[in-house]
Amino acid sequence: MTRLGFGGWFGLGALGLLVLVALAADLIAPGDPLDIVARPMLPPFTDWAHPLGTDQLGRDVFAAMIHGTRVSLLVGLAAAAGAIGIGIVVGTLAGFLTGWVDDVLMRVTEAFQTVPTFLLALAMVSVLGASTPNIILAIGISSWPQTARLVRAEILSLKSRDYVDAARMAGMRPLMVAFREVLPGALQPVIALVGVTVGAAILVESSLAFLGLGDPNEVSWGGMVANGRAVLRIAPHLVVIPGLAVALAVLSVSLIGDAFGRRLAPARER
Amino acid sequence: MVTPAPEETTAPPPLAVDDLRVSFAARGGDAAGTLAVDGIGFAVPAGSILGLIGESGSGKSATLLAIAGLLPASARVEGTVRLDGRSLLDLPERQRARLRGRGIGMIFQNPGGSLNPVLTVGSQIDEVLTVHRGLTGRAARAETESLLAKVGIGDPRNRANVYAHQLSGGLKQRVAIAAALAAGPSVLLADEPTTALDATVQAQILDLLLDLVARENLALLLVTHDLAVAASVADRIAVAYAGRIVEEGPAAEVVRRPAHPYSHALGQAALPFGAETMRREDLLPELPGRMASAGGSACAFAPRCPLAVARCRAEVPLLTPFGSGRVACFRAGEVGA
Amino acid sequence: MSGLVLAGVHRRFRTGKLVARAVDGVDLGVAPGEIVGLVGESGCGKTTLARIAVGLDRPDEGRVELDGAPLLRGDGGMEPAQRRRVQYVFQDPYGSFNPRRSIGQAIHLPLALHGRLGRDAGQQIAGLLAQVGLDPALAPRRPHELSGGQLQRAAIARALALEPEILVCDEPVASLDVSVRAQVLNVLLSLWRDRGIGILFVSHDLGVVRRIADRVVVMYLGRVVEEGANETVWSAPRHPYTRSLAASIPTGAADWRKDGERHHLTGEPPSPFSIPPGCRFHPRCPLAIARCSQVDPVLRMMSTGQRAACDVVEPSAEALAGQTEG
Repeated sequence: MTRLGFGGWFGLGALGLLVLVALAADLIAPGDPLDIVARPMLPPFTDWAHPLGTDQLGRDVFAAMIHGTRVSLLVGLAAAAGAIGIGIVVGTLAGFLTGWVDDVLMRVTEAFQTVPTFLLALAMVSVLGASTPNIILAIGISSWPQTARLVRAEILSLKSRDYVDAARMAGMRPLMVAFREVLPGALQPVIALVGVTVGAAILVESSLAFLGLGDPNEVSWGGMVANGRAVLRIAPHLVVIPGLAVALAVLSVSLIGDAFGRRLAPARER
Repeated sequence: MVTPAPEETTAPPPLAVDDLRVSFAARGGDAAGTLAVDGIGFAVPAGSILGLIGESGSGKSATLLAIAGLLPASARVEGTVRLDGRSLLDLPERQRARLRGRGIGMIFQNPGGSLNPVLTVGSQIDEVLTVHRGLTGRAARAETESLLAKVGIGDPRNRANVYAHQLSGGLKQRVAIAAALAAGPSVLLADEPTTALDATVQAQILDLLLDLVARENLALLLVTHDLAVAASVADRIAVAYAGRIVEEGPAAEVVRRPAHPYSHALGQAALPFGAETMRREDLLPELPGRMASAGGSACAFAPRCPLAVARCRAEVPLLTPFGSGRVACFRAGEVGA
Repeated sequence: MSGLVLAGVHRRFRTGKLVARAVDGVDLGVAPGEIVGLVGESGCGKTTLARIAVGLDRPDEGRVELDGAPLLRGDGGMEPAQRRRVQYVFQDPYGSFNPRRSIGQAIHLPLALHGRLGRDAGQQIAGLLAQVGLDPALAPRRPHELSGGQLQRAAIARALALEPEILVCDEPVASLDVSVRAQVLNVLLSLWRDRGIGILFVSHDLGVVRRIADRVVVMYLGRVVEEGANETVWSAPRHPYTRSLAASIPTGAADWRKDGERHHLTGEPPSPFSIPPGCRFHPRCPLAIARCSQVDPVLRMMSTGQRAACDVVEPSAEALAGQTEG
């Protein structure tokens, strides 16, 4: 397991910590983070009842950070899972069936790709309304083309490998060949994409929240950054702290994706 | 130290290599690198072909790349490479590059590999002419067409305007040869130039190389794994094994009366297309095991050698004169024919 | 009739509007206990034909039969009973094994799929590895951990798992080092000699083919241009292409270039997308006459005992009857 490297372990550790925080949010910071609990604009590290200070309405930054973890991780992971799931299905169908199915699916993929991910998510949330499920849906639908193209390309390449023919020579039926010989190889590069996709999803969520399109009933790091923008000069901690959290989350997911992608690649000779 | 081949001429040979050592940098945390070439030396006179034979791991490719200056920056090269008498490896990088560009032409195994896919073949040759011979515009193109004709490409005026992918393997290789000759080099390096080509096309390209060597008085170092190819076109053959030369001599001698057991085994394995003396039911003569890595302190071939004795496993045999060539074997000449 | 029989096989490939006639009417047979060498240059269709022979590809026309029964079913699938009788050895051993599985698992696969696993599968696999001269301890290794020669022998062991009657080998030693080739070829020769397996040996290395084959089939642009007993074809080739092909092979003899009788062909092998009219070899043929661009010669028996498709070397009866000039 040492082959994960420093980056991989760091990423796993950081993400693990974030997940724990998200799960135990109510234990660590009981109560509604949107409650007003103290005087406004309290600087961090002054009052240990509110270790990270308060915002301009007197809401506890620490509590908001803890609860914000939930939203960011939930949306990020769920949206990425959806995107990757859709991408795998589309890419697999296109890669195996070829012909007109491939053509149609690729045109659809390209159509989605021409619209910048964030704008598409933005448009969808504007239309559907800013609730957490809608946000997950919007991000998921705008992020799948990358995975689809990768899976399709891998399948097309692997289908022509000799060992696929060798499996047919051994007597394997075509469907089994597809699932046992081709698909595992095609899915392996997707693992490297997972890190990128989750990271991107977290960023999109933060950006949507920043623009005021986040779920109004939930605290989100992006929303916190938006909130702190107005008082950036006098209370930079309101922007910096949630910003760092977003960066940490995206970084740890990317490092994990990298490390696993490398470790799972089958050794190539020569 | 290895002394060059016995032929002495007053002018220095276009290409002379002496005690060349190449090692590749280690990957990962490994302290030691990999030794690929362990003291290889030879000379190629003008107007002749030296066939450098070896299998994978013999160091033949690394030798070629070291001469051409195409090794990765992390590789270590020691020894002497002399181009028309001037030592290359001592010079600073810029001068080295200039000398190489003008004095050496190289042809690779993959015919289209050295051709730029987005330029017409003519413009690529024009480019070489501009950089190394100062020709531009119409003068350059005229020379390009003359080069294309020289390598046997019909209708050079129109062919100069096609792209590499529109040409067949044989034609691509001819273009690559023309580009290699454009700067007017005295040395031509060829790395398996016909391996990727069909048999009939291979014959044409070998014919072409023979003609060019004679007409332009080139020194051609032909690296190949195919003994028959080397035997058919080379004047002299050098056999490489595990980073060292184990035998070198006139082509006919090395093929027909090999002095080193490995050369003998190669000759048997090459299954010459001509005479047949064995019954079909007989199995082919086998060489067990695999090539050892370079840099041992004994004869690298000993583990697989039918003639190996104790001395072979304790000492490295040096390349010493034998007949009209050189052999590195304590029992040189004893292997039956 | 036993053995592998291909009759009247055609296979065309389409890209856009262009059609490549990769295999353009070929009859081929491999009987148990014989080694048939299939030679030709790129574009001749030998690899396509080899894949059709084992069922990896379906011909557009023609029959492929094994022991009298069709190799493929109507729907393109194959009966397991037919599947096991003809097996394939690929050119690149590293490409023909799934890099994620051990070679033991790769050999286990055909046995499991055909229900031929005994009580001790490990023993069966070890036995197969030993048959090709490999240490059974190599079974848990991954493909990249073996050398080219070892891995190709493992590929043969895998092909033998189902006890086939016919083995089709597509350039099995071309990607191996010269000194290692004999090891693999000897495995094939032993199988042929001791077990009577029929082998279709596709290769561009005429030296190997001449050494091991019973019969040789020479292909050019999708057709058979010459076929017959191995020694007959090489000692007295009839078709001009066979002659040129043989002459192209460097023999290491000093006279390779200068021998007047041998000529090295000019031009490039044309592509199967544009097959010349008449005799498909006529643009490059040193013996071509006017008639050759109009009439497509038929493969027929020559006086020397082999079959060749050339009307100039030995004019056919109709040609003699009908023509006025040479």
